Amino acid sequence: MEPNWNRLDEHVKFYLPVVVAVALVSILITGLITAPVRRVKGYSPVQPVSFSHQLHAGQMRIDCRHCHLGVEVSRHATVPTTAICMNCHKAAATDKPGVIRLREAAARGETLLWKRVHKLPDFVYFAHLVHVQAGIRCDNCHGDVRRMDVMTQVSTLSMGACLGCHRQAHERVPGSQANLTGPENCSACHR
Amino acid sequence: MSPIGPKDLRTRTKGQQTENGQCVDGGERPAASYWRSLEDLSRTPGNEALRAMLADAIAIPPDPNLNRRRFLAVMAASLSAAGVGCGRFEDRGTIAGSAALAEGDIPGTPRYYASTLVHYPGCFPVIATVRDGRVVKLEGNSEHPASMGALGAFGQASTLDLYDPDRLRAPLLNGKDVSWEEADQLVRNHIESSSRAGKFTVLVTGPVVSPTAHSLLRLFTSAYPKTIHRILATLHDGERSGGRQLAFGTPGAGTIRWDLADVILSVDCDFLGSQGQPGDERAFSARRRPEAGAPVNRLWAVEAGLTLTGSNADHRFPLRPVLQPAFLAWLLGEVVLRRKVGPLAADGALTGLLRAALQGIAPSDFGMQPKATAALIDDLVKSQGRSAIIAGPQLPTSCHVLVAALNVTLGNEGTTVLPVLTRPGTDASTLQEWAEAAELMNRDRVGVLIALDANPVYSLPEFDIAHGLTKVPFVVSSSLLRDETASAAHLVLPAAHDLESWGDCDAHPNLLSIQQPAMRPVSPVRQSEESLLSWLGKDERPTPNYREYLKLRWTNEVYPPSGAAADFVRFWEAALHDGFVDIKTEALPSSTLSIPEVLDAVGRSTRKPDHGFDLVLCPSPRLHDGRFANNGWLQELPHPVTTQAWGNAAVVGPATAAALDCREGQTIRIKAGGASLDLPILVGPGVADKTVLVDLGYGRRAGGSVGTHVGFDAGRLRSPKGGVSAWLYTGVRLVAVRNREPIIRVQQHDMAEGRAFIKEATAHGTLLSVATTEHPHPPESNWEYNGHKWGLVIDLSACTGCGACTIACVAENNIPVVGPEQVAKGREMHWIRIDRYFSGPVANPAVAYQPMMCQQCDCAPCEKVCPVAATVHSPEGLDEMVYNRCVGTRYCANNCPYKVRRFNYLDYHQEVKSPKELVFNPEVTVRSRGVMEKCTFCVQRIAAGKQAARAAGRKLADGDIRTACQQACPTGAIVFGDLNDPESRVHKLAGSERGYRALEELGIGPAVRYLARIRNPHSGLKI
Repeated sequence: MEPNWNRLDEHVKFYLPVVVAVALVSILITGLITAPVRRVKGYSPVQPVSFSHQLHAGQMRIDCRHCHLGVEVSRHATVPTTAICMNCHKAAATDKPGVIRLREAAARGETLLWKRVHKLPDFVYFAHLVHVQAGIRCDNCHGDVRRMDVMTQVSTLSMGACLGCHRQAHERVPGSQANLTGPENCSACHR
Repeated sequence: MSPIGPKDLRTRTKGQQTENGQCVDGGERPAASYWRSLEDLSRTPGNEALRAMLADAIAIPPDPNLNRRRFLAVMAASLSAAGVGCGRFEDRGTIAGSAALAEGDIPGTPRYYASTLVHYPGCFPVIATVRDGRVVKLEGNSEHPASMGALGAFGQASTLDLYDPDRLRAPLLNGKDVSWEEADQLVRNHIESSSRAGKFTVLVTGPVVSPTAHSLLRLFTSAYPKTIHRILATLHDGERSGGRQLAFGTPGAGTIRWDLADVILSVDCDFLGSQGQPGDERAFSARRRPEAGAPVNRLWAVEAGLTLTGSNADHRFPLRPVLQPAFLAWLLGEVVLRRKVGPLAADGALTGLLRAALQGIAPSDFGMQPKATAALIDDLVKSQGRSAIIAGPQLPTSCHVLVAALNVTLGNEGTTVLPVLTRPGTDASTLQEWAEAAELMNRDRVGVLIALDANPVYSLPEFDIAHGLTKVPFVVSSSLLRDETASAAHLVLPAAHDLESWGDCDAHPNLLSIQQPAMRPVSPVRQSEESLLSWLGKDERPTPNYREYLKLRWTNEVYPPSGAAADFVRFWEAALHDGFVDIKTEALPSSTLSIPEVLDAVGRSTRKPDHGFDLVLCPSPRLHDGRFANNGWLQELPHPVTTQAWGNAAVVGPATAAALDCREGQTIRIKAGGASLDLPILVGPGVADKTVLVDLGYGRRAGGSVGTHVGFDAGRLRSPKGGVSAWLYTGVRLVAVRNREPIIRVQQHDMAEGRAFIKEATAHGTLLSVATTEHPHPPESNWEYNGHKWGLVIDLSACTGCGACTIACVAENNIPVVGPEQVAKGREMHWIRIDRYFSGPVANPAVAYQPMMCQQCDCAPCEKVCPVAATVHSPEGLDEMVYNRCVGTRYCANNCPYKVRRFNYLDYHQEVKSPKELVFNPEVTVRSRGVMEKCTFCVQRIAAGKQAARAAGRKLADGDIRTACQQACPTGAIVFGDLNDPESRVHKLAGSERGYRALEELGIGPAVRYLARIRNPHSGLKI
């Protein structure tokens, strides 16, 4: 059949640019939405008290589990209660402005309102305990906290990041068992 | 492909049918002989008249508030609102830890407390699951012998009452805030000044099931001698205990050992439903499983309306209530005179009188075939000492005397029927006592009226308490909500919920259950006992608070007789941990039957009925006496038999409806004595002729934002003197009124389309029905399950159809209440529903119940049609539903043959008023609009079970994971587990010869196995 050159012209002059433009805009938008920065990788907000993990976990070598009580037994690692802070800070560094604010809050029976750094969507039911018990270390997801003066998110915490590790944990987690994998079905995390 | 109608199925299946759908000898009952509702039946040929009667009731009215313009306005508003919420994307808000935690408390992990619900009908021992300081779920206390881990619908729904946004939050004096100290001072002053003026203080409570509360009440009445204590119970056992008192001359009640009874005759007693005690269903249904070893029991039911008990009976006879006393008298005569059984037969004078009184009464008077009554009497006489007869609490005293006589005659008294002493304070005040109290109020002789967790204005409409209260200078109400009585009170005190209170309960023989707060109150409320204690003078108060008072009484009266080796502190802590202690309930001495009373009862029972209708006021299986009216979960849970939700109606049989020339939904006026009530008619199969039944508990005028003006207040038909009893009236007139009211019945949603879901067999192994049709599709699944393969087995023989599983599922899975308008459109959200199937004649059908939830098919039709892979298969055999992927095409629901998928048409959780959000299970997503949802086999519990096993370093054991429905089921009919584990209960049960899968012929491999329902008909009778 003879090609319809008029139609072809119309296709080249009109439809092709439109399709290309739509495709480009889509790619751009998708790229923007899924960029690591949108995942808040590198997010390090200013906290109400300039608490330093570098000092506590790094220099003083306090174990993570000393303050994050729930990490081995609960879904949540849990932010320490003011009472836990005060265990040491009744005596330690009582002259620092942050500790003074902490003490005042504790005296009122209140808690400090920390800016949240790591957050998964509400429909994700991540459980710390299973991961810790499987031998995944804190720094596998949270980075080398012991060197962080200000807490920063280092992983994208995206579903891709989760699945990457669930598929081949032994490659991503140094020193883990050779056959370690996580479940990949939906209800493992979403319910 | 042409659609297959019921007619085609009928010709293709084997059995033979009579015209009215009844099965003839020996044949299998074909699939099409089951009908889900009259509507369903009316679609079959020969039932056109039925269709006409129901026509208007079926149509769903369009929403008058939504037209095209409004739709566009809503859409425009939604679009503009979509951009409003955008803020900085990095900001994740703040995170607040606790200031301090209790020892061992870790956020995100549950803690468990044993307690008891005492303000619920029947006293429920519970284990409260507490997450982050709030109760999120209740289960039965599995160590408590009366519960064995089960918890019915009322108990399951009580967490919603706890977080009811309508709850009172602070004491109010004439509508203004007042402090607790001022309120207490005011009450003390008023009581004292009214006593000085020679006026009475009327104290109204419910039945006092707590011995400690009872001792406190005695303390209060002795401190204020002008106190009159009245016990309010809309529904109580007064007639029954009165009957035993007459028959034996000793006070007390009779409890039935359902586990020992081979033959049970229930004369209009719904012991499996709204008139039973927790534990009755379990004991009864334990004898319904042929595998268990003990012979299957046989239940005979004679009843007015179709109840859960009647629908679980092997033989059921509809009989209008006014003839039921005569039936009992006749039965006694047959057993004593004709069969010459029991000690009474030897008494010549008695037999002569009995013969004279029963002259001329025949089974045909009760509409029964002589063959049927002969079989019943044969059964009773053959199982002497192993049968039990029970009559409904609404029947008059004389019936209970006759029941006592029958049980003595048949040797059941002392074997299957055990006398139990009732403690003072548990029996409700009589109508006479209430009339006196009302009279005192009207004559200005009452200075103070205190209502503690009681609502006399609503519950006693016959005495016009509302008018009486206007004459009382000071009215105090301590209640959860601003109910009818609180609205009329001067001082309103916010009462604590059972889960915020201390107490104990001796409702179960030989056990004393303890009640402890499982959480700190949401607002500064106070339990009524605490109020009572603080109204005592300073010197009369034995302890500063009620908790100490409870401990004091336990120290003095519970601990010493227990003989415990440990000291009191250990004893007390063990009681708090376990939820109960063993005590010795006083045994009743055996007593002899009073012959003159029996003769008197016979004389009073053989009267002929007058013309007019019989009216029965029934306890609502959902709202009980109205106390659960503000509980949306219970309002939306369909009535087990009529499947009506959000309301009540006048239930009449199809013949009565035809005689009245009424269609379903048409309003009728019920005239009983001087009172009348207009309400819509509901045509119920199996209801006796000349009988109308109405559920109590509806039509609240101040029932909270959910419960006000739902349904009709049948209590207004009661008269101060009562009819035959307070709940039973004869000579009632019914007049058709032209109005119509919509009736919301969920069983009319989703027709069975002639497909077979139910399989039944007799206890001797004869198959009564076929659950599969011809031309099966071959199984199509390609899945292999290497690890776990989750499955569920549901024993239809044990299921009584109560609906506890539905409420448990609602509580566990954050299922929204959608409201009456949405339910009317078929949009209820329940993940597990109880399907009710009728078979046989409309006048007296056989009933089968079937819990229906997602069957988690291996080759799931829903998974195949989802365009966005929002429902996918898991390696453990679950059909997973991924809410955040779902775009709401609803293809899956269309393709589901079980119709178990539910769609969120609206954002039902959007307007959750504080503190109701606290009731949500934090382990389950709160779904939003436009998302499909369904049963997940409680996947959050599967995950929690695996995590717990992992944390303990052991393998997952059978029974570690229990679904919410399984845990709640009062009869243990539901079993969950790993089908791949040959040692698991579910695997063994699935292999039972009773096992079948619903719609197995489709080849889709459902993971739910049903065990065929067992019927145990008498060998001389057909079903």
